[in-house]
Amino acid sequence: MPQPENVAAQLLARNLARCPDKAAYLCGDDTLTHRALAADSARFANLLRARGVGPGARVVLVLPDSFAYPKAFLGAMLLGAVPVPVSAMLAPADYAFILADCAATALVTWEDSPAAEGARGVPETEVVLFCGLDGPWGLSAQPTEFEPVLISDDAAAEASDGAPGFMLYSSGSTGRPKGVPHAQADLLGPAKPWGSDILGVTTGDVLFSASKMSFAYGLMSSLTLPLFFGATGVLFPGKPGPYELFEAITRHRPSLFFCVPTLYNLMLRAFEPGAPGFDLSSLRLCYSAGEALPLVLCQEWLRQTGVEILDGIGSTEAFNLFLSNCRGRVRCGASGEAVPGFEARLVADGADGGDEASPEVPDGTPGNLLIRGPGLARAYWNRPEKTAETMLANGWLATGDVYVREHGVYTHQGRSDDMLKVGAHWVSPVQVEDALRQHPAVAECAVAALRVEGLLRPCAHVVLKDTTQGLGQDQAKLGAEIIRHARGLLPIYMCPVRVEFHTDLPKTPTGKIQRFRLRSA
Amino acid sequence: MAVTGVQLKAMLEEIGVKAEVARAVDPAGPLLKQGLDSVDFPAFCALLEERYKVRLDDEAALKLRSLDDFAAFVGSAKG
Repeated sequence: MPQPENVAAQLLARNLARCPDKAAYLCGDDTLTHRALAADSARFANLLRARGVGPGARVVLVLPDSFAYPKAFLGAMLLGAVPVPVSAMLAPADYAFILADCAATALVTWEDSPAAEGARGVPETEVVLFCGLDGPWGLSAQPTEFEPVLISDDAAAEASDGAPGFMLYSSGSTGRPKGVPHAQADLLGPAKPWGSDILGVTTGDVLFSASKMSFAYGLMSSLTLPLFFGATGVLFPGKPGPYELFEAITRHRPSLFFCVPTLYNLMLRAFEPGAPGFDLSSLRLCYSAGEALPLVLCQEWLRQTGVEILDGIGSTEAFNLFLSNCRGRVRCGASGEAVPGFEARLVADGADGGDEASPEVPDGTPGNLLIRGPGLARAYWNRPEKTAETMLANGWLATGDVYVREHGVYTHQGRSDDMLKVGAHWVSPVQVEDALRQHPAVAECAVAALRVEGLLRPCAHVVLKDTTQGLGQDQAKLGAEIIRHARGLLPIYMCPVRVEFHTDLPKTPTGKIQRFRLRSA
Repeated sequence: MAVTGVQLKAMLEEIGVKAEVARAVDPAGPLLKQGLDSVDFPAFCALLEERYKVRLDDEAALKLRSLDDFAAFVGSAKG
């Protein structure tokens, strides 16, 4: 029987032995060596313990990508606590919900952040640690020795009642995010198939992810891969706009760049080949995930930059990429083939996905994608109904994505539910509709996908209280006003790009709005 | 039909760009350098397609960076 291991301790010890003085991370003008990362992660564990945080306790991290992030994540893990990275783009009420949902003992964030405000209403969250980019105050006073707490895989596997190794939050279709617990060992899951086989990561690579560490994609590319391979990660604390990303690439000279289609699109629009600040000569490979990469964007990026983009799809539940293109045989417009170690099945609507006797749809016919493989989350945190819908019998997981397969290559067709993937973020129509309904002119509304330049965006379909309003010039003005109203209430990626006015909305006989009829994809 | 910079700036306001930002836009400069973000850009493309009954195919759209680019595109598409 394998001995339980603390995965954070294992990662840190390996790099301390093989490359202690090499940069683990670059951020702005600063460098954090693997030696310094190991010391400060141990200090972080000591600091958390001194503040009363123990094994199994949830430690929510709301931080910009910075040196503080891996220190806090690994520090919590050394202690056997459960790091819970959460996006830094949410509102105080969202943080209050998440902190209460996972009964977080501690919150690590920056001073006067919306998360700190949210924590004030959550009695369970007794410890709030304020961090700068380098770590929390008082970190350097802590000892650099820490005996890692061992968690057995069995305990970690009991995600619902035992202590998981780490947990991420994913948006739910009702707008309430759901916790996705993983065993500590799952943190290393992406290293072999994705890191080694697909990307060919070596110790000499410098990895830069525009996707933040609070997302599975960002955590895999900025934490798992650099540390597993003893490579170097670039951390970018700010909001990644196209010019900022070119500047960071020019400055830090990464060999691997991880980004999302929305940003690749904006980057191509900003690209000035040969101009200072647009030097991509260090890149050997780009990766795209988070939403399907449009065919033209894939082709144009290669044509203009000379660097191949591999598109793939993964999920928070998998904490891995399960379909991916491969170097040298990219199929632009497709998500690629099943990643080694993963099995994929496409089944018809209504089929029992967990029943392996149920037939797959034939090649060329759209079907619901099910996957099976190592490291999949076994349950959602305290959501038995959602767990039953998603985590099926015999280890299969329903992704909610509809695909067509031809000769082993999978092409994305859309979602089987109303969820939208916008700029690599999940958007629940319900949450956007709740915000739109707060506008005094809106009687009824539905949010559905609108395809612009091959990428999906939220479009608001609105029925006005006063149906004589919203005509001609008034309509344009009112549309702009509704969009501005949404921008005041929602994160930017959730905001509708267009408002369309209707006299009524398509509904089922029982009165449920049929959002799928409003999609223009 | 010529499309003017004034019309396009008014359309920026229509998609929710703040009036002071839209009015200050230099028609020759890249919009992404002048305060437009990842929501504004697709919103502007979608409105342009609807208003001028033109089709921005993905490849053409990627080359349009400034208001002048958009005006020239609409002008040539409308013949």
